[in-house]
Amino acid sequence: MAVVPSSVNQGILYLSPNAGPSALAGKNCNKNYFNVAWQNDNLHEAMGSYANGEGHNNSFILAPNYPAGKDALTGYKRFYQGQLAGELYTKLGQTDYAAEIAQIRASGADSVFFFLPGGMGISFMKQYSQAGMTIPLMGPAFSFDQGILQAVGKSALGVRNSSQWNKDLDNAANKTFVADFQIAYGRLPSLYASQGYDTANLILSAMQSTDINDKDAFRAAIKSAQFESVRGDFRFGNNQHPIQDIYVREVVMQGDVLTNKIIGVALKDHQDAYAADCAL
Amino acid sequence: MGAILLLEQCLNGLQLGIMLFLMAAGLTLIFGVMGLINLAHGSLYMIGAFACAAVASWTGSFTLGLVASVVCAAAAVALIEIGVMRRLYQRDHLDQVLATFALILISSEAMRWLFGSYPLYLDVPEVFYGAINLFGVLQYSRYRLFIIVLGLLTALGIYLLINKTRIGMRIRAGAADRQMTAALGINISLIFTLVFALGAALAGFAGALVGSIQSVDIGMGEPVLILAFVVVVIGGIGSIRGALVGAIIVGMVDTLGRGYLPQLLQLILDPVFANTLGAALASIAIYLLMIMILIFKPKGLFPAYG
Repeated sequence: MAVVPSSVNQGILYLSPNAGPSALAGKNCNKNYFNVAWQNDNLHEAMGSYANGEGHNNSFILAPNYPAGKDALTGYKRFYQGQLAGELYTKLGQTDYAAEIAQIRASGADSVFFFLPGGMGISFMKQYSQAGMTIPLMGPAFSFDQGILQAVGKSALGVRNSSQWNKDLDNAANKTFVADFQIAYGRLPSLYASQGYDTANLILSAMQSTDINDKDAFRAAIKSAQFESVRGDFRFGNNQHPIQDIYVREVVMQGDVLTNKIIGVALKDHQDAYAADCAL
Repeated sequence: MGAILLLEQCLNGLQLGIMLFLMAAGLTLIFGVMGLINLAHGSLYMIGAFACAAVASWTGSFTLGLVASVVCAAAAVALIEIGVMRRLYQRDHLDQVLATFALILISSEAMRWLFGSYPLYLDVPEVFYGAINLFGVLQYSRYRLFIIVLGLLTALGIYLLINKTRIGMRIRAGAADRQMTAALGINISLIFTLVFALGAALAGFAGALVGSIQSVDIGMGEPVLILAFVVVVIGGIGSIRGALVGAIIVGMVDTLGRGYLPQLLQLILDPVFANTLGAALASIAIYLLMIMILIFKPKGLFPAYG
């Protein structure tokens, strides 16, 4: 957010390989700004839509008390049609969730949606399962990323989460990526690695088809997104954010490694809610 | 249902308080006895958690992990005491803060270098997994109950050590008047090292216990350190009894604030606004409490001396 406006206003192309805040997807979109990962709300919307399909109609939802946390719960509620058993904003960086888990237990919820990135999610999931809670958990992919799953351990098993990518997606680009990544680093790639890989490939594809000094042609080549994405189908919407499938994954144990397996598509060819406000 | 939830939240508050006490006890002793501000206390907590995670995953034994956490934290502090702290006892607080802040950065980087930047895996032992039925009505996490019991036993142990033994008497004497104690022929620098090691062991122990319900990662110590300082200030600097009472008050206020403030505010305010305000107030409740206590009792609830 701090870097984008000052670079795009100097006419520099900016390709973001990670989260896209709502402000940059709507009326503040810019022809020099591309997001190659996802708009912030996307994965949460997918989980809301998935909850309907599973017949959940009394979700307890929680997220940290900061802008991305509010975006997350807004995104979930945009697609979720049931009622809420409770809605909580927790302190950013909180590590003890005993008070929240007690409330969830007492609320009579049939499902829990949580957005707690990083260590917060690890703490929450461990404490949730250690407390003997069995109400199904749902969340966006960040708390179930390959990098942190091993730290959560078996507490994460069976949790459903939404993602625009997974290592078992069946396309040639993804197979090459997953295999090459394992050879180079000796571990399974994370969601973030896949986004970085796609971003780099997108730039390479535009460099091959046009002259990088011809800025307008180069920008148009980026926007046409003629590259083999590891996510399969990938294109840009008018606001230069992705239109893509969002999948539901389940955490499973493969050998002695915890990882994710795709169990279905939550939203097909999904575009973010802010695209209409963008004048591009 | 309401009463059961309240009881559960009180137990949660007690558990958080006990953990804070283990941190604050060391901090308050070190400050009380040596007049040293040790910002690196949070790093000892982190070292304890990492040691426990590493040993538990090598050996498969959580008990060995707990032992390792105490040993490693005490060993780390012995190095720190000899290498850095001894030069700082006579200096003013600013120098101590700068040096111990540097120690935070150094130990965080050391952990990253040793273990990588991904969080480590540490889970509670199988026996403590799941919930236990208390009084026939309440489902409560076995492990948290274990922490409460273990923490209370530790608190009792410290109380007996400080108040009923010769060493404890010397520690109290050192806290009251360092020079006079030294003049009476007591080896005060040995007492210092001992107190330092005791404080570190407690912090490491707390880190290991909490590490298994939270994430074991770099920088896990600093949020706890801040809370522990709040506890020390509320309880009265240098006072173990103050640390215990302060820790339980802070644990209760924080937990009950998070659990009930939004709902209480909904009685008088618009629900959406009450939710936002409640969440915000809950995160600052303990600091408001600290301000109130300092206004009325500037030296804390149980001032140790002076």
